[in-house]
Amino acid sequence: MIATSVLAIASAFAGTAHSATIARHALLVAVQGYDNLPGVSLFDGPRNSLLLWNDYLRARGFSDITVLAEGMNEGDVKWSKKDPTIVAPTRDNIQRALAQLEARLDKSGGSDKVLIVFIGHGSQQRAAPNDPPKPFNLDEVFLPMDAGPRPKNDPEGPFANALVDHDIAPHLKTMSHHASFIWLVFDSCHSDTMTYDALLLHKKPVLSTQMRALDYAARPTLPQMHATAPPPAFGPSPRDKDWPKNYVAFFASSADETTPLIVADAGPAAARIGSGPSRFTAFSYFIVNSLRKNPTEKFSDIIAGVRADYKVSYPGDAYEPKVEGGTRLELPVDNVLGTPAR
Amino acid sequence: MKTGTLIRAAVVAAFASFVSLAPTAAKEATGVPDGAARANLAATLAQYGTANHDPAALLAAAHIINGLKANVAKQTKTAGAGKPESYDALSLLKLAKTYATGANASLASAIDGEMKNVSATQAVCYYEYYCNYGYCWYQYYCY
Repeated sequence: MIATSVLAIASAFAGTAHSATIARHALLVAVQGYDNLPGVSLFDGPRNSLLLWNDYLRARGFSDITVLAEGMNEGDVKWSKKDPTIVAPTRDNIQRALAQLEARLDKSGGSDKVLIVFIGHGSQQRAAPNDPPKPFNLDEVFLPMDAGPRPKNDPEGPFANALVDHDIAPHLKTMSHHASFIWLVFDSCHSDTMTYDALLLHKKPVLSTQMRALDYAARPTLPQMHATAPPPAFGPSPRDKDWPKNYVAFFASSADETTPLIVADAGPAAARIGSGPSRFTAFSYFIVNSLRKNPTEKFSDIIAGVRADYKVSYPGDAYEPKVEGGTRLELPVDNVLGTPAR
Repeated sequence: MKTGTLIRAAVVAAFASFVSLAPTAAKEATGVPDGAARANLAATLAQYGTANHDPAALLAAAHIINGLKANVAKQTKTAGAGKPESYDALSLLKLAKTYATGANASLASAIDGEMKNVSATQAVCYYEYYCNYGYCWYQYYCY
């Protein structure tokens, strides 16, 4: 009896000590102007949405926030020295920020929580050779600020410097091994399946040069393989043994659809950008608004709220958010954001 | 007839016609049939409204751009020098609001109403402005 009580107290203490060391990391990316894509401008929508996220997370106790954003000039935004350092959201910088976050998580012992938000322009491009089959053979991409145009006369060709879905999946896999829980938000057009990991669905193809090699020809015949299940569906597949089980992902639109911008009162962002009507990306605006109203709601409730907000604000359009995470969507958002301050 | 009166007549005509022509589809693979002409008209109205502090012209320009659901490039003579800028419908409306005083005060509520329509998608389609040998035109692109 005494031993049981001691064990219970010990485990409770261990739990307290454990929770006290949990860090919450956020990586916020907002891209709105594209130097190499004439005419592509989301004006200040992504920047303003990033400000909503940043200020909400800080109020909620996030201490490690990495910001890669445009439009943060002194004259445009009140951004103090206490705020995170601003880094330009180029492809290299985004990849570096993800790698640095992975390194921090690696040292943390696996108990930390992560929120990653990508806000900007998304598109689709022809899938790379050897990619697994995808609907219409198109990859989903997020365009960093240094993204370049497609090749001439190739309307489905690859953008220069795009972050492709299979660039994201390896980061998700690495982080999932070193973090307790991850919440990904892709606030861009054509964003569904941005986590799609080609490596998980297909093994690396054998090249003809390898097949011609002597050691390959000398290999014993492999035993006949029998399929135990139907082939996986398109997109990230829970069938994959090592597919992360500790994340949820929100996508602003399906893979073949767009997502809107919204003009609304600056509200909580007024202290940063001044009061009055301002442009936001609708997906982030609705999510943060929902979190402000109900900071302990479940992931599934947030997305249901966003779906309803889309219908109210754009009754004539077919905007539709998408999610990944299965039953994990029923977890409260505190799982990543922590318990809100009373 | 003064130029200002002509512009105002154009503004009224633009409102009457474009309200019924405004596209409603969320996803657009191609521009609206007369998109280039509309972009041209919007740019002209925006320039006139800015130069003459005319809220009606600015309101009409923003209304046309909102209906196009695409960015409209500014008509600059230095084509090819740096990244071309686009008209921001929200900025045009904010500017219009500052001019909606005195005889134009009645436009204020219409400007507020139009601000709610500034909701282009994050999929950027664009009327790019080209000039060649003195001839200029708009061409539609989607990224």
